Amino acid sequence: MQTILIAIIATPFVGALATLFLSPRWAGRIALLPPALVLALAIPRWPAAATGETNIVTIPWFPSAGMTANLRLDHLGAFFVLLIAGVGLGIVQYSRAYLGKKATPRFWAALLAFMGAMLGLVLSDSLLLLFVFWELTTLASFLLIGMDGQSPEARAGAIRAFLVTGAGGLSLLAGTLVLGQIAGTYDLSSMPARAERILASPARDVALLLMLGGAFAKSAQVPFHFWLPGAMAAPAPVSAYLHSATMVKAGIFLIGRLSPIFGASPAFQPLLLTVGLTTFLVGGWDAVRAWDLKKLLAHSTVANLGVLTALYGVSPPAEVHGGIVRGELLAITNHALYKSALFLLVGWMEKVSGTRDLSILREERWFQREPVAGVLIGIGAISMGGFPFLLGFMSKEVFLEALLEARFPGVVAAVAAAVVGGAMAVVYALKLCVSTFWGPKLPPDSRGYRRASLSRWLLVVPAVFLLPHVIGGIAPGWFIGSVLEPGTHWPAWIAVWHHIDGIFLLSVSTLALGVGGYLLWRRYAEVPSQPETQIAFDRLASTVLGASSWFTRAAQAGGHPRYLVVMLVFAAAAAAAAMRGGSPPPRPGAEAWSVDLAAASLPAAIVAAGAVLAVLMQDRVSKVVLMAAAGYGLAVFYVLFRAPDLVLTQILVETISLLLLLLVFQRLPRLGADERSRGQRAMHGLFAAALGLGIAILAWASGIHPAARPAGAEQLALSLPEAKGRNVVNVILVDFRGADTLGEITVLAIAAIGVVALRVGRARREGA
Amino acid sequence: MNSFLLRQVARGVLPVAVLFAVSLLLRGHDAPGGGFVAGLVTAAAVVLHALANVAPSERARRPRVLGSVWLGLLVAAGTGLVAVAAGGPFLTHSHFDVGSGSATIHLSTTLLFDVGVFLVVVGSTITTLAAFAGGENPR
Repeated sequence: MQTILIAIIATPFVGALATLFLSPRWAGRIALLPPALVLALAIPRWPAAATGETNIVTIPWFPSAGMTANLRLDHLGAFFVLLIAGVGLGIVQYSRAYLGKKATPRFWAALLAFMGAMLGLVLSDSLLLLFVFWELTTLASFLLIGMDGQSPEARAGAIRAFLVTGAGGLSLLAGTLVLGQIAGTYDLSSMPARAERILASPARDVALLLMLGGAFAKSAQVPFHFWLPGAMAAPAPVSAYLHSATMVKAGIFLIGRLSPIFGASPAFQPLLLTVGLTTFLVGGWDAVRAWDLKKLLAHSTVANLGVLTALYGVSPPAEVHGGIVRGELLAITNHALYKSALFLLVGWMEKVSGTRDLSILREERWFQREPVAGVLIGIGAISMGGFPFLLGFMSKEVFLEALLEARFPGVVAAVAAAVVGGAMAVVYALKLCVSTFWGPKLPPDSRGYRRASLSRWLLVVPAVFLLPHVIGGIAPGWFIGSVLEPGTHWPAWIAVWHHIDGIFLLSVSTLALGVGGYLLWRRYAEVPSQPETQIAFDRLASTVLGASSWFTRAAQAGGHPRYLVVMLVFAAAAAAAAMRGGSPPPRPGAEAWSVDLAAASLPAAIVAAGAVLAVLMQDRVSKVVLMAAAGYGLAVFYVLFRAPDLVLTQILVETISLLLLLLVFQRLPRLGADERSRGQRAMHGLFAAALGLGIAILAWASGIHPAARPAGAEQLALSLPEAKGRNVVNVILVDFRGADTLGEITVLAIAAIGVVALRVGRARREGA
Repeated sequence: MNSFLLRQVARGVLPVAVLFAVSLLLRGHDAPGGGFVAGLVTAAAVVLHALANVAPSERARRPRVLGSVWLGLLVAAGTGLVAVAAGGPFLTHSHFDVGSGSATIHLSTTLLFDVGVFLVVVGSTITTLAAFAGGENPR
């Protein structure tokens, strides 16, 4: 099992890597392989997983910190694997036909990497591993939305989606850590057994809110719902795959995983129900008002995600088996399939008709020219509206039944919200299928691509996606009870589509309300004069970006004076803080260190003169020459302290840096007059003086104070017997601390490459 | 900086400096010296020679010493890996005595490691200096 699960996760990543090195043509072909392979691996596991078999694979990661990389294949996980790979296969085939030459190897790599991350997410048993994959999906989504880097809309949408879901990811990480600390484990499968302990903890609600914050952001729940419509700048197959079928379901998946843990918590279900139904209404209302077909689908996706969330809020905790409430898989399958099919079909319509603006399309009769697309969109739309004979109808019935059976205060309001939301779904479904195809005038030939130039796969793939809807609508008992959720106890009416009771009446009144609403819309809806925007959010995003760039400017000023001041003042302050404790008595053997004052006065004079003159001199060359003089004076000190290695190094480094500075300066303009204000100069002087004083005190203190455990003696004693060398400096460099030296020369090498890249590369380009 | 005197001096200094660097490198383990200092001496001499004898327009193109940086890293890391191959920890050095009596030569892998350091220092220093020494004066 371990090999199979790892293969399922790794296959798409391997594919992603491979496509990067292929020609666009072959990259598209090879991209078909990973989802097909994953399907081949996962389908044989489905019957066992669907009846409740759970496989947990233990993979140690960081045992001392209690971290694992455990994987789990159970009903919920296996369902998502099939969904991701199945829809993924169709999406890849559709993308090849739809994007044509625009599908670069980079696009395939991002798409496949997303697939792998998503598979990893749903197979993770370890919350930490889940978080890693969660963030990878965010990243891949960013790349795919922003695929067209030239378009400002695509860039803004990508950034918006990244900020919202990225912030949600941080919330999830914080929640993971809190939950892991309370539970004493990061393994999701061992948490339900410890639910009592978790719920008894005072930090329970913090953990719950943080985790749900991540889930809500990912699944576009109110108040984080605005990123999803912005993500529609992505090409149609990406929208269909990430932003309706799979990625936005990750939050629902997480809620499913959390429900056995937090199900008994008093906040869990009311919160999910409230947020879910609010999202249902807000998304529905936005979809009713939308004029862009793709935006309409995006808003309706938001609304439907609200239903999926609310479903976890109504079912009694006892009915949650393995993180699945009754009807959840049905609802997810239903929505994932019809919504991705609709996205793909709208992509087709956009190609054919040259627009996806409903205010234009409603004037034109497209059905005559596009009967196949019309029928397919019709099937998807009436499933979306919840009309009978299709899977969407069953899904809606199950939701209504769960609401009616639930006993909680405010159930009437919840049912009313469900009916109103359902009616709005009917309105936008009718907008989509009727208004798009049944306008008064014949469509013009001037817009869009020629029909013959489009691949047939653009219709075949959505048709395949819609097939389960028809099957499930005609034979719901077999499809739902035997294939999707065989372990669940279903009421008798699920076997047939018709039954007359309270649920059915509610259903019918929802449909009637919706049709009435649609007629009102046709009559009174006006095209807004300005395109819809998310002004509030854009302001928020620009504030966040502004704050971060302010912080970056403050810390990374890009100017030498600021850097030096920050670094040096910090160093001096740290040194001063260390000496705050007062001074211990001078070391008894301190005399051995001291030098002949008469001999030392000469180098001291050189250093002091060099330093003072360097400040007074006006041009750069004199300044660096004088600084070098001070450096040579320092070398004399090393002679007096009998440190020949240091002498050699100091002289050579001083020489080479002088040489380098002189070479650089011949390229710089002459120094102008000092433009600093008097106050600025005083501040710089103050910093310099304080720093000099701090270093002087430090040097003096280290000379006279005893070291707690002098390292030198030990190294000296070990040098010859251990390393067979008499020069302890070199022994430390090449032997005792050899790895440090290796690191340092690596830094040197990197610096040299940097110089070549910045300087020599430029010179070559200019020369060429 | 293109004077006859400088050219003659640079020509004379280069071999002496390189010899001096080699001696610094070889004796480094027992007396003042070592790969880093030896590398700096060599680089200084080479740059002096280049400033005196190579036309400015040629300088940026001439040094192809970045390779010595890679070679040096490879030698230093490889020295450490030899010990790993023998089953010891990374960068454990081994020592050998060749010959006998007063003619004994002490050899050890520390010298090899120091050669790696030397190559990296020479390569990166010359590359950096040459990057700014070459080309027309853009002022």
